[in-house]
Amino acid sequence: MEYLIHIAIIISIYSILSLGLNLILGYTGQLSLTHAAFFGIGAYAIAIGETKFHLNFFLALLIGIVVAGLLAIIIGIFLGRFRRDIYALASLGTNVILFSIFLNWTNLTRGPLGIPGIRRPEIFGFIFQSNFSFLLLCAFFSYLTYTILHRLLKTPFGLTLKAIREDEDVLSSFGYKVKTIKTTAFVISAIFTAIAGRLLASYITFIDPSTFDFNESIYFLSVVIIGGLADLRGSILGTIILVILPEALRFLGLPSDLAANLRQILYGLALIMMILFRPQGFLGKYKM
Amino acid sequence: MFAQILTNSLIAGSVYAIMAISFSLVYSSTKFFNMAHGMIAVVGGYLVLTLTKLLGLGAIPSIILGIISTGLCGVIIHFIVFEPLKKRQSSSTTLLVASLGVMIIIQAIISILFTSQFKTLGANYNLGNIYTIASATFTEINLVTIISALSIFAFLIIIFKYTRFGKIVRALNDSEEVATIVGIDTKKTIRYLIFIGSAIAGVAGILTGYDTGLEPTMGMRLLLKGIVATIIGGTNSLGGALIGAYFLASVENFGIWKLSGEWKDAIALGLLIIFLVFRPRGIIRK
Amino acid sequence: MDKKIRVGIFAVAIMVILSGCAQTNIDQSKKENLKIGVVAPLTGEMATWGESVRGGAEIAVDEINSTGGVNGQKIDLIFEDNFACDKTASVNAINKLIKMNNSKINLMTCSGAVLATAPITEQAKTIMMVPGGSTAAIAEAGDYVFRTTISDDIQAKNLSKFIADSMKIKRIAIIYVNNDYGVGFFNNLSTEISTNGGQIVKSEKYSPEDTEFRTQLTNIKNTSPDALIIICYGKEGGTIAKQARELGIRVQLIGTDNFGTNEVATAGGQAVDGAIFSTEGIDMEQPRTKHLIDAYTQKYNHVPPVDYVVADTYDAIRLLADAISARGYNPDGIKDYLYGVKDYAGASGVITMNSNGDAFKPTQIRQIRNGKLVNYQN
Repeated sequence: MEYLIHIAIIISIYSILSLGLNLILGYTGQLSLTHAAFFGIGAYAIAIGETKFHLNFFLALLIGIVVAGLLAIIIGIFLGRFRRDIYALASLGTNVILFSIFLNWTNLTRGPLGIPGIRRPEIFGFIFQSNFSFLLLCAFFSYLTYTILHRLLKTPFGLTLKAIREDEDVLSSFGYKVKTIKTTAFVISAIFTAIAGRLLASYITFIDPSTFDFNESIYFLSVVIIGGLADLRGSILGTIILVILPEALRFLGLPSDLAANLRQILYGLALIMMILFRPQGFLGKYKM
Repeated sequence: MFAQILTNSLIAGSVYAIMAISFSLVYSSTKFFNMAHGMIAVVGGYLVLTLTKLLGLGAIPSIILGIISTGLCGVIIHFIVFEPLKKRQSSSTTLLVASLGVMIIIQAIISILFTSQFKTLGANYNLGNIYTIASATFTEINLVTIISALSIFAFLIIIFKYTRFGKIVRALNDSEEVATIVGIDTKKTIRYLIFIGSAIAGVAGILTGYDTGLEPTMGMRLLLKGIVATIIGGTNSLGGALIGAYFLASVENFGIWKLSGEWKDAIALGLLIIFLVFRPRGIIRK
Repeated sequence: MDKKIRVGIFAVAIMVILSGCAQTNIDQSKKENLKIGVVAPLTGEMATWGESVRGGAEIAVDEINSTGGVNGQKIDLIFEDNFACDKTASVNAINKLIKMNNSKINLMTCSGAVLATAPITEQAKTIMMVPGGSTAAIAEAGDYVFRTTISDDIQAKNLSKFIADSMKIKRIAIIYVNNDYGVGFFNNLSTEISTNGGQIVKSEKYSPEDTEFRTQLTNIKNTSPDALIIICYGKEGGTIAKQARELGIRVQLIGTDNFGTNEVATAGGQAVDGAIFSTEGIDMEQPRTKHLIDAYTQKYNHVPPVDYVVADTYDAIRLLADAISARGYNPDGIKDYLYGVKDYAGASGVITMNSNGDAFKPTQIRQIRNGKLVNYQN
């Protein structure tokens, strides 16, 4: 069923993003509201790379990773000096600023007109034209993300992340370079988010700034929190739940006026309920 | 030209100031960024809309009723969602995320009840009184807005300096623990503060409703400006909130004068970031 | 353990998908009603557009079905919400319509949504008809993409000519919304105004969520233009007019089709009295147009929120029905038929399809007087 394939693609793409975000939210406790901007950087890198410079998907992917990575280093270092809720606020700020750039640097991004006509990826002559093949590509990336992060968390680096979440100050008194570790985690997370953005751009074949504003960042945050902090499977679950919810509402045949707002109420309620009654999320191991 | 831009800054800054003052009150008592606070302002506007247009009450009684109800709304939300979390010693991050949930729900409810269509308060066919001073023009509502901002500020300063309640609040601000030990009912005081803060936010929403209109999505914008102003001015100072607000409005308006309209939001948040990095305690050192 | 679970889920998913594919093939061979999908902003900020599209489509289909349908087959409309023109939602919707409902003819509303979904309809070789989506870029969007809405560049051309020839205004300031509609229209207007000998003395942008435009308007006032063009997306056009008047800008206000709505007239009040705007407009003098608007008012108990969208959608469906009648439910045949449409007397005007699949119809210049939308009088 083509429709199910489509839903599966969306789930795979967003799962890459939520896995990445979980890395810094669940494991190091950094509440980032700027990830929609990195989602956008990945998407724009592909879009501009393909339409303006005629690069193929994988080359544009590489360049996009570099751009996202560099930007993430700068933003990560900048955000690293803040704690907790000021961190959230500052990251909101960076999202708004990056969004403004997407919207207003029209020479590069065509601003609100968006960039249409992005082609599907091509490798050695094979074009991922059919949705089914594209799904396999996305699922592959999703699987790759999960595996990489899973392995990463088992390394000494990964264990340090959890320690940072618990008590940063103690850790730095032991000589660990906390700021560097936090920034590294942030960069890794941003890169995976950018990869997700690339896949989305290739799938929808058209992007514009509206997909990358801070409301999306709030949405991503909810996915991770509801699914479960500090547990990778939680991110997958959270993604599945929050993608299927609006689609399910579509089939319920609710009066049109209500459906969109009801969706919002449900997910706001889900967020509050989670925090009140199950602060670690469905599958999480860490309470905020 | 310069006079007009200055006037524009005064007008916009006054709305920001009211939001900033209200936010400052709420933040200093609850110590977390309540992202739903902007929606409280919007609730105020829509309450007055319901009272005047749907129930046919006069403007003045509706506004008074609206302000009080908004204050109550704020306290009720605090009681249902945030007090239980605070009891559990939840971190300020947790509270922030919860407040995001509240914000989403309020916005959706308002959209359902009033639709996302634009609504205005007050009779709006005619233009109303327009005043001109030194080649700068402003309307009656603008004047009311500026006066309201300054009055609210003055009123609060007087309360906090000269009344017993004000003394209690200052004690609370210094240290919640000590205040409790000394026998102050901190919970009740905090609730009063939230009532006042929410009511004042309601004023901002109502004024905006009369001037430019109401929309369910305007809450976040009002809030962000209020937060930026508070951070610029220093989170612990009412005077700082006021100065921060006018400063922000001026930079925005003079900025657009020279740059271009679409960068307004980026300017505001850029200012936030600059202050967070270089002067996190704000302009006023306490 | 985790790895095995993931592999397992993957395997199950593949099996489900493969069986699903088999299922779809069986469905195709059943004889059923003719499907026409309609994607529109049924909820959210653009709900008035969605409502108008729905109304126009339903009335057209009711009329067609009550006389026996097309070649004996009735038409089924399948509505999908794109949640206030959201592009991802539109992609989801068109995918569902084409692949799950097997609908080979679909209506798509909103310029951005059309641009996002056009490649999909092109690849699937299905017809996409646009009853509400005016951005110039749609002209190039694809062979299978058609529209009954007038393209913005045609509107811009007619408006600029009117300003230069009939109003004799040369020095113009423009304030416009920073989204695809506003930027696109502004670009079209800039070209056309200079072609007609005019000069844009100042242009200012604003964000769609802005409610306060004083500083941009102050900049504009400073250049003393002879007219101010407001390219707005919705009712904020009225607020802009109000603030402009409050600041002492007294010149002629000119708007585009989004300005000529009851919402703007209400929001602007006295400030927009006398403002003119360019619009697709419909001619209520025409019997077939009046008949449609009356039918809408009767069916839904209120006048159409955006009347020309109702007419555009109605004409879209009727044109498609004619095409199906002539060539069958066959996208390639329908495509050829549509390109050949010439002087079709529709409810929205006399339509001729140009080589881009765009409807070429005359535009109107109308005016706001005393809070009402009326024909232009000098």
